[in-house]
Amino acid sequence: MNSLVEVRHLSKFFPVTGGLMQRRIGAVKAVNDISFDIYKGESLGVVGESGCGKSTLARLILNLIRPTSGHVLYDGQDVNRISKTELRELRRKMQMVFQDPHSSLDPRISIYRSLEEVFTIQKEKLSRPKINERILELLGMVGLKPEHCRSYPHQLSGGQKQRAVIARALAMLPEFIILDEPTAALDVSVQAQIILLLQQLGDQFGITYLFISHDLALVDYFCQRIIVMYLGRIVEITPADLSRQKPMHPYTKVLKESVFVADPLAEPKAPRIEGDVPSPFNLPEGCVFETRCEYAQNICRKESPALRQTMPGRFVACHFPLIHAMEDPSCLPVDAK
Amino acid sequence: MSLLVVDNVSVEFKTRDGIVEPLSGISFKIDAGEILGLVGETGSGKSVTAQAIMGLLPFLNGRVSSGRICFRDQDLLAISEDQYQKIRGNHISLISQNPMTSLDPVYKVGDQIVEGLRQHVVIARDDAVKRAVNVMTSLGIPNSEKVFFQYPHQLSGGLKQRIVIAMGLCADPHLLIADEPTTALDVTVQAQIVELFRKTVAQRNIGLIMITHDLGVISNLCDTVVVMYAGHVVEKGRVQEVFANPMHPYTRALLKCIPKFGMPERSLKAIQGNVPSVSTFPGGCRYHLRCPDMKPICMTEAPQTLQAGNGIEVQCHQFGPNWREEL
Repeated sequence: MNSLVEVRHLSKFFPVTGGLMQRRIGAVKAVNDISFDIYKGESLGVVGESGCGKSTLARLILNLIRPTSGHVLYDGQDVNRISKTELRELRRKMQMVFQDPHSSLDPRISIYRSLEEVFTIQKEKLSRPKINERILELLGMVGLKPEHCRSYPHQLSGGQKQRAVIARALAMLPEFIILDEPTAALDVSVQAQIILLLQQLGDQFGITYLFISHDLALVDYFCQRIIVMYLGRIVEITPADLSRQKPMHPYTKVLKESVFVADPLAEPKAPRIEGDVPSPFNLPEGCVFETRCEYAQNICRKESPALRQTMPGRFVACHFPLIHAMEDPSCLPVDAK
Repeated sequence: MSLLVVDNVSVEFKTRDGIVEPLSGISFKIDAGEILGLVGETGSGKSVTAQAIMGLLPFLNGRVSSGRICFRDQDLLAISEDQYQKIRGNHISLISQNPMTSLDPVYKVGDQIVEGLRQHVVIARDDAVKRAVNVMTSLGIPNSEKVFFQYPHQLSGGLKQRIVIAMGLCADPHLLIADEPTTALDVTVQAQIVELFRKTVAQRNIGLIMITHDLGVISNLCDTVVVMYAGHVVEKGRVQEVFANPMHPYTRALLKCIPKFGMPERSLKAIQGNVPSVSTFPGGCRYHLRCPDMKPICMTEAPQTLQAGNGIEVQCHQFGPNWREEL
């Protein structure tokens, strides 16, 4: 498969300063030496709890912040090394939709002007009637009515605002959109509307998505592959459909079992894990998950496991991966059979 | 004797654009040892229900316009503010959504628990401290003697939520109302807090009203569920019955729009349209604008509450005598 984005040994450490002279006293390892590919046309999910580095990763890929080390290749181009003009060109191809639609829109300008701006800042200028036509077309695509272009953000509901933000992201016909928790601020009924809209637009325009969320069931539904992150590290990369693919990393297992299913026949389950995510300022020495892992051994406290391939398309960073997936051939990913 | 009976309660707010009614004739009851889930989307009136029970409606422009709220056979709407103050916190406690905003950042968490306790119970400070530490320990807070002297910013989200629950439980209430207590938490911590609620209710034999929009939490934790939409109770009953056999079109749609593991691709079903805001509640059945089974009667007449055979109460014309398929 063709890779659209290649992430290689990417790290981002944020310095922590303290004391009278504001000297550097340490670093928060928000993203710590991670590598993966995003294939053309797929929806790749990134899940993890708060503080695992999901959003930092998104910003790094779009070159909104500079990495401490490592690089991101977009279509073979290193996004951190290219010139400003080349970067501007590239920015048209990659877009981002943020969690809170309300803070993504300027409250003082109408939806029309928010969308118009995307066209007027471009080098090759479109004529006014052309822009007008495009904006109405975009609003139609995301299920808004033409009269909504005169509205201001506060006059729209959460779902409508998120539709407007998606319309703006689509304006330049991007190949790649990062969705950073696009439905976290919405009601469940509206969440389903937005998810269906994103899927339909993805099919229609062949958009590659990077879908960031803390909701494993949602990611499992929306994506073809899932990256599970914990404290700045990738712990597992797995094909989606987690009802069939058994998790190989203990953390993925815990995460899956912590999701409450709306089925009263499901046994009420005791929580599988105690405590909270440790602070990323004070990482455990060995495996990042060692402090909460029920299978932790001595080696886990000393050595950090590398992400390795256990079977085609499946990667896990664990000294003792849960091997049931190998015993049961029905769990094998389709292309490995 | 039920612990709390909410009977046909309506709430109105005076606003600049006239009087609005965020709650219209809602009824439910809860017994000791029972966990009742109140589920609905934004604007369905869940939090207003909690405020009405606690007597915390904004007193300048909000009031309960009709109905009865009875707590242990005492009509809460008939008593004076002084008497209410004795019930609030002592017998009924409220845990609000965001643990960070319920805690004062400049005081130690232990002092905040003790302060609340001594407002309600006549108790020496030393004894109050002991009681607070005991409650904290019983809620699974490690090193509670140490945590007692810490400030909110030194604690993680899960611990802060436990502190807020400790504040609610300290005065030994009979009824706990938890307004979206797990929304701000990560899933692994949410599972711990839900388990904590289950244990606490069983140990203390108290009633718990769990307000949430998460049907997963309801199905795992609650005994009964009350589904609210736009200020109406559209369906209520035992969780097993309602989830296995949802009757109201809204409950059915709500269950279909949550992604679950093992769901076939493209099988998610959205509910069209938006939740109406309180000033634009439509006439007739308030769900009719989004309802796939809508019939002319739904636009004109508000449906009555009907008893279904399996203990479910549902508010929908479909199950009433005036329903005609061919219309």
